[in-house]
Amino acid sequence: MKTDVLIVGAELDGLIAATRLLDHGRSVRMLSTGVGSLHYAPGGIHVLGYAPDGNERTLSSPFDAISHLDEHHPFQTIGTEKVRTALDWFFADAGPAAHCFRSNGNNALTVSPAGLGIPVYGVARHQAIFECLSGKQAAIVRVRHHRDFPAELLALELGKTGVDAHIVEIDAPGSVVENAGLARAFDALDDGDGYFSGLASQIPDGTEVVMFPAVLGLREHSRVMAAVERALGIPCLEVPTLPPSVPGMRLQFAFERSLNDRGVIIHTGVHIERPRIEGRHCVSLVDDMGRTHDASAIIVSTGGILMGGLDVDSRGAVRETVLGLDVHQSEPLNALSVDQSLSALHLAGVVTDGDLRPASNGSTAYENVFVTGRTLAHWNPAEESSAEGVSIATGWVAAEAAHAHLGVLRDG
Amino acid sequence: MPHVSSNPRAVVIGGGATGCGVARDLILRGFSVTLVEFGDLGSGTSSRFHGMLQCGARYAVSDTDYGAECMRERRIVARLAPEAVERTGGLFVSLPDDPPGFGDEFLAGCQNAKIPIDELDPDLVMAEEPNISRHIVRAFAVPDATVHPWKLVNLLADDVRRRGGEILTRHQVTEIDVSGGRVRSVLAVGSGGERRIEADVVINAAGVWSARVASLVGEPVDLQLTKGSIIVFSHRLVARAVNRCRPPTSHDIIVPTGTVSLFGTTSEVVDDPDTTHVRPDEIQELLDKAEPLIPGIRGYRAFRAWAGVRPLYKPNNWTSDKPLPRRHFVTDHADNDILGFFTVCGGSLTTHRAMAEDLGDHVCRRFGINAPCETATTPLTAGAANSDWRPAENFQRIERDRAFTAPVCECESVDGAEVIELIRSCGIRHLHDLRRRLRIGFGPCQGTYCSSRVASLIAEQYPDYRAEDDLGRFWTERLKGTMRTAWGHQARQTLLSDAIYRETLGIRLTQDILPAEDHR
Repeated sequence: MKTDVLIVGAELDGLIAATRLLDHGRSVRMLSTGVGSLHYAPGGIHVLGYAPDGNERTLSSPFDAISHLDEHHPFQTIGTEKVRTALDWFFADAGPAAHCFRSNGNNALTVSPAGLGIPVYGVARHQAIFECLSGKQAAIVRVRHHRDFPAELLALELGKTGVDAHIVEIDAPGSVVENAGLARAFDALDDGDGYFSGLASQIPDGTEVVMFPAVLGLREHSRVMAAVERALGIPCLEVPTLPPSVPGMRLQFAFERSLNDRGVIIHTGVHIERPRIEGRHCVSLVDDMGRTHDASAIIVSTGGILMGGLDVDSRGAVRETVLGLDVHQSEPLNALSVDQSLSALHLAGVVTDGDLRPASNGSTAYENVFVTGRTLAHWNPAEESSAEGVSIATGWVAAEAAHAHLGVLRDG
Repeated sequence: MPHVSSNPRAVVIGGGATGCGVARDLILRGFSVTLVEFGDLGSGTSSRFHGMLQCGARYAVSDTDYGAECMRERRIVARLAPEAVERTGGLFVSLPDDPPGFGDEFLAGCQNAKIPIDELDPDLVMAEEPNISRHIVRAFAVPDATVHPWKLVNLLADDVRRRGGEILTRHQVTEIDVSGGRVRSVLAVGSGGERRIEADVVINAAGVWSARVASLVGEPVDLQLTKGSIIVFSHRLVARAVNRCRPPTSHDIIVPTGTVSLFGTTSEVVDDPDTTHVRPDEIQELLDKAEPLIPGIRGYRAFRAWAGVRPLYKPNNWTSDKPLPRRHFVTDHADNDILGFFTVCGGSLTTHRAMAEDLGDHVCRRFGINAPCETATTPLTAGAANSDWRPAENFQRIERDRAFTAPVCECESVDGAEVIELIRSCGIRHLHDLRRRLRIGFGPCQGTYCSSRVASLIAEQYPDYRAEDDLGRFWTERLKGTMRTAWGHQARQTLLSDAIYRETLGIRLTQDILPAEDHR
């Protein structure tokens, strides 16, 4: 059974590409070894938070600095205009999964679990940002026995910024106290109003805003938030936890759900063993069960080193794991100083043309293959605070390019 | 005979195994003792080695006397500090490339040094140790053991504290006052200010830094510093410490300790005692040399690499090409008109007690004090029953009002109550200092998950805790070691850790490292 586009990996870039290709009426199939790195994502749409001059200067808008990025950075490869178009599409038209995010075109500073600020371009509706806290009397709610939310650390650091935060403790709604289990227990809460009204009595008088660990519901997040705000009568916000991270999982599941509704299932547990190549086309991928997956185009959204799309050996050589694509690395990773090699680990990846077709020795390796997200070279999500931005922009561009490629096939 | 009061005052400079051992030795002989350490206890060479409590077999051929001393001391340490010692046993295995005659020499050497030794059937050894070479031609079992260095050092220090001694960490001695031909006091500078400490006796037990300390009074110390690098692998790949049976050389040993195995070590003469970075080429060298002993070693997951510097005594008349002696030496600087200043150096963690005994004997002889060494026979926790050192009760008390349903550190199974107890009882407020005592940050995630949980527990106790700096330093330092072994799953782990620190917590990497944090 041949599909128009086969997407390998369950990263945000793959989900974006799938969504966009369905909009274009293409058939899509998704294969993945695991669940994707959104499970680590703290929530929010990070596009470009720090200036690329190495001074860790917080940017008020990502678009001020894209043109100053390395010329091979994915944003530069696809061009600022496409980045802007992709993000506009995401916030307006990417479907229900993206509806909870707002952007005013500038970066806001989100509150990290360590009470520090991280610049973010798209903010989820109940995500805590410093702007909502300044000068306010705050309460931090900790779920008893929940270890992945450092409430005292958050309170201490917020105190240094002038936010007076009082810690309140509640019992978990169920028997599980790890992040995803807590979120599911909040989903399943029959009497949310009853549960949260018990909390209301503990919130000190004069409290103007309440912060929770970001575990208030996985699939029923809006309903849980409505219940808690009804019970407390003041704004309630979420601060991320250590991974697994519920806000990232919400985004993942929302995209998966809308893809499912449109007939696309992500097949997980599939390990690609080898490609079948004909000339400058990859015509199918063969998995480790011997199944052949035929496609007219392939999008590689395999999540780079972090998720196994790239592999590093003990001599520091980096390999692309699905198609054996050429990988850029400045030098073997083990030949560098520690600081340089961390950076090199992030920057290693596949180099492409403006349509995200992989390059080999300066020319296009395959006409029908498109590479996205962390498997691309020359960007560093930790240094730039740009993870979701690059995923959305490259997922969108890959979808457009694959769609155009299929159009060429049909017309030809 | 120079006069000294009936309660002579000693300042010990250096808080490694040697310094803590000396402090204990002197306090048991009736001295009042202050120990000054510039970093944290046991943060120098004491913890930057392969973790072996040597039975001496390694030196039985090249230095039989030293081998015999190791065996005597290994027995004493294992008896005094059983909680810090794991009696893994050791193996010496000959591979086809090793010198064929060495096995017999080795057997004879061990017998001369009175080290119990058994020759084993190679097939049996290969069956018991499935990860080692399938080409073992001879194998010997010896009573090597492994030691948790920080546990040992802290047991010694705790005993000193219980007996009224004072331990000053994160203080640097910047002046040793000498007048009238004898030491009078030292000046110790810490972040909280400086302290002048009166002293009749000043002991230089600063290990690789002892030349620096001796230079404060214009004295030389004849040391040769050699750097040794080690790779830490996940899991215990061997049940016993496995050595190549050949004349002691580089990269010939793998030691199971805690939840990991250490393979080492390189050896390279260095000038700077703070040379603890591992170069990439050393990693490749270690992996290549490990391959014959542990086939397929490059496929195993490594957590990190680190290096330590050995302070070997180099007698100034030493001209031979032979390896330097491993034995320690004591210098009484009264011979150069600085009465009361002594240096003890060389030796090893295994022989730290004997070093302290020898030093104590020198001090007592010089001042005509008649006080025999009691460290070998006095139980290390003898004073504990009368003090408030009752960890189990403290854990219970903490857990009464604060139950932890899951470990704070899942890699090394560290419970929150243990962390709180240490923060409260020892006033610890650095992640690194907790790491050395609890093993947080030692496992596969290198502290990524537990560091912010632990930081939160510190924040609860200390409103002036500088969490952002502490977490930044912690990640920067963990990264230094783990980056060197970032291949396979550890490369993925490194990027995940970086994502959690920088993208979730908002912690940035830092260049600002406290003394003695830059290591394993």
